[in-house]
Amino acid sequence: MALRRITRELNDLGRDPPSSCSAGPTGENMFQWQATIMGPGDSPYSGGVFFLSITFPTDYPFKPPKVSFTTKIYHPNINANGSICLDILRDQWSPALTISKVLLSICSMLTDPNPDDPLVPDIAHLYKTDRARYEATAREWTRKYAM
Amino acid sequence: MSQSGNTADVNQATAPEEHSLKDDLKDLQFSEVYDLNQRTIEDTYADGPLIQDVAPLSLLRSEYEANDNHVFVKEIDWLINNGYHDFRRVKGDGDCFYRAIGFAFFTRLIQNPDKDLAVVTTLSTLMATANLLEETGIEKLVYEDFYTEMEALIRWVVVPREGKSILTIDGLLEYFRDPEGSNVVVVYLRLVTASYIKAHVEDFENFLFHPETRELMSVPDYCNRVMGLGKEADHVEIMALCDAFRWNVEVAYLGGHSKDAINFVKIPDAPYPGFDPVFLLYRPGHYDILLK
Repeated sequence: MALRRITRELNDLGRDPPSSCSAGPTGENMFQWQATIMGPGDSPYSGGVFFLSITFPTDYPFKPPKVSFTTKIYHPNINANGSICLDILRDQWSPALTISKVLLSICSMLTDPNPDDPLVPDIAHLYKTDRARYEATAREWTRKYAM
Repeated sequence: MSQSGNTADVNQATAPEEHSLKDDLKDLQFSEVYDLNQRTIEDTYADGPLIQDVAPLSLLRSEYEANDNHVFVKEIDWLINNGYHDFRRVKGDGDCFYRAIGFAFFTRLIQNPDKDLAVVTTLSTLMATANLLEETGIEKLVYEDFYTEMEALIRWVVVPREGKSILTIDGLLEYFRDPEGSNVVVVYLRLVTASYIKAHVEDFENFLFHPETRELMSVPDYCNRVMGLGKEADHVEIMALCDAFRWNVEVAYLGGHSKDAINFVKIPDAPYPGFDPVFLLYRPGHYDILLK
């Protein structure tokens, strides 16, 4: 079932690609994908191209895919390893979700971080107390690592 | 530690607050009964299959007797005296309601005296549920693999499938014990349950409480929860699912909610024609299949 579903999602992404995201297998292995997200225009990540790694479990879509950033990014919900703190990738996953929806959620997380459930408390603190400095650092990292 | 703290507080309390101590104690006893019950459920499952073989209800009775749980023993006695002699344990992984009702329904389908008619009826109901999913915004991409497998499983009741003879109870058991097979049914039932709630917001919106926090949830949040594996079901989900599939279910609620007999709830109130009801046995936080 996993392979059939992953193939369907790939075809769907080709037919109707979400704006500012793309995704597909890196090689022969259909369970290993790479995705790209364009930094949203209304965020300090604007102009950056961010790469993500997607690994599907063998019991997908019963279990969520593993998604992480391979491009360094300065964000309260993404840590130095690229791990993403997003509920739908953990306990809020449901088989009704797709990679396309996951990538869109990550895009909206770039625009609207969730500092109340941070993975990097220092960045979350800065986001809450000194937004300008957070945005400046995020822009700098975007220029340095994602352009 | 927090308990002894409470006691100290209460010792200094004045008369009106003593009443609340009594309530606290009552709650404590209830929660103790609840915990004991949870332990019993967990102990008796361990690493068992997703659905176990038929066992006599007297076995369950002896387990509660060993724990001095007289409330449950009395209720189980009532069940036995009223012809419910057996049950099947279903693994308590948060999906027990969907797995139990799915298995019990397919059992009824296999046992139906007019299987051909029952299968045709069920297939047309299944088609209606796919329309419901579509209408409530579930992408075809998401549900079609589950739908196709549900359809194949229903047909299997009357026609051989991929070289295997028509579905028997043993075959059904084997299918349901394989997590992938079982979970296909669980996920499809979950999608339909969520969509039915979305399509009948006015009936359900005041009852969508978070099972742990007891806070009222928004319809989308509640339905997203329903669609995830491992999330327990409550009365809302049972009503929604039974209406969507036109299933008749009778749930025996153990746990001291009824003084004389047992709390046995029929869903829906007026049964749908054509199918005998399936019976479920509920203990706080868990569903098993009850057999007459």
